[in-house]
Amino acid sequence: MSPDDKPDNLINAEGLRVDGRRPDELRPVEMKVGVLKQADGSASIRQGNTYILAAVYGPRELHPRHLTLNDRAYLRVVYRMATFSVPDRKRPAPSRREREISMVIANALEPALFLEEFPRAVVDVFIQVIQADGGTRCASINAASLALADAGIPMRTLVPSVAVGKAQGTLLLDLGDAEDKYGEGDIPLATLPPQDDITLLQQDGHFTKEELLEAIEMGVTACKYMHELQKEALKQAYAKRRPADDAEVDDEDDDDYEDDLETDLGESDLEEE
Amino acid sequence: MADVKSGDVVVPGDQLCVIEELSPSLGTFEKDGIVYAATFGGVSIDFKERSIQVLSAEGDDKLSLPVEGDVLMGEVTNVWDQRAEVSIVKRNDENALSPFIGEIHISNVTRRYVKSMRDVLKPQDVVRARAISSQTIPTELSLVGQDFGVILGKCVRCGNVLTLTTHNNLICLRCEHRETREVAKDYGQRFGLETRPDLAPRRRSRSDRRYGGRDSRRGRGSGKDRGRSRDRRR
Repeated sequence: MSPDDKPDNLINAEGLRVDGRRPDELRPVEMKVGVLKQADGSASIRQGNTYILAAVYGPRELHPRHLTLNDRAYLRVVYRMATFSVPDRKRPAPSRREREISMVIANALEPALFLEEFPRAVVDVFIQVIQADGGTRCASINAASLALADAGIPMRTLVPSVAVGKAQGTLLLDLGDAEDKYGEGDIPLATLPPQDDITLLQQDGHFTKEELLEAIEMGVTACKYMHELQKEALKQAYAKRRPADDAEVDDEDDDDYEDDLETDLGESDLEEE
Repeated sequence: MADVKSGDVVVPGDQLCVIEELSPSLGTFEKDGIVYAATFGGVSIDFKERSIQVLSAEGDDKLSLPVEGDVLMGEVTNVWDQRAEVSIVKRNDENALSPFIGEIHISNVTRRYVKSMRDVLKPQDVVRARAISSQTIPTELSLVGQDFGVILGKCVRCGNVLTLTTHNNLICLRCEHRETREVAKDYGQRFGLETRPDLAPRRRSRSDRRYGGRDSRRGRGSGKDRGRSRDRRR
């Protein structure tokens, strides 16, 4: 993004943001489960212009062997950004930022998983950012937790995540790229419903204590909404995989019905005779 | 009764019932006396066992690890005196997405006594085995049963495939090396190999062992010797 793109005001006179949202409004979110055929579990998320794919492999054997943990599975998260995901070409070498976000995502997901059921194994989570427009680490957590559920990894709960930021003194939910760059701060957070335990809390920029508390409150509420969306995505995926069975069941029902009709007709014939 | 009924779709973290009603099974976990779903899928309640489980759309647990009773195929990678390691590539006749390791203990090869694992398996053999442990790494395997065992063996001397002669005896048609394996009943059939009972190791008959054997040993000696021994026998 060139410096010319900097908007004059991140919040206009009517109190709306650059993309026309209210301060406490999420971008349109679309989650899909089971998008990749080869992976054990996969999910994609589109949040505004952010588009992310997550794939889960495992539990499987861990190579190199020296990384194995004898009491639980090792959660290996790899967060990668595609070279074309940002306006300036992202250099393809793994960066310090990617390594850190991988670790942060792993830490956010791990408390939700029953990794102790698979000692000496590894659960691989690969997250590929196809298009980045702010909030990629939160979107990644959302997609990764769906992919883990799709892979059948036992988990306590799904992990919803959302970022809260600040621009011109107003707290904003789910920052876009411009708000992230030119705003005053950013607090990504992830929770474990229903207790809303916070597993990810980072801060960039300056917040007063009151602002921080309010931001967390806003984030937790938004996470609840995000959790509902995740549940919906999983249920849709289940319905999509079942249609063949459902159709068969329906057919059988129809057949039964027709049979009944025929027997009725037969009986009536007999009576007539 | 429970908060859910059979066929309901649940997601991880959904409350299913209390522990007094139904005991947690596949795809569920229990916390503070309440049973929750640990995976997403359809609820299945077994009133006979009084257990509750969550199954995927395909009707099983979605995990990529084998469960007890799965038929697995793979290549023997290592053999020790007591155990053997198998790299598994097929699970229930479908290619495994990520290959995994199985382990066979000497007690699970056959019901008869086996002195050494090396007598029944060799590296590079292709085996069909049954999983006897669920969702563990490595998977414990068993070769007990007619359907399970080596389905293709390689000659240790020249690497050529071995041909089955009779029960568990094999021969390499290239170098005529004889070996033994614990074979499945359809050894080699997938690979177009026919059994060759005519090449079975010749069992020396009792008389051979007693007289012929002695004679052949004596054969090295002079004819005079042989005549004398015959005389003595009479």
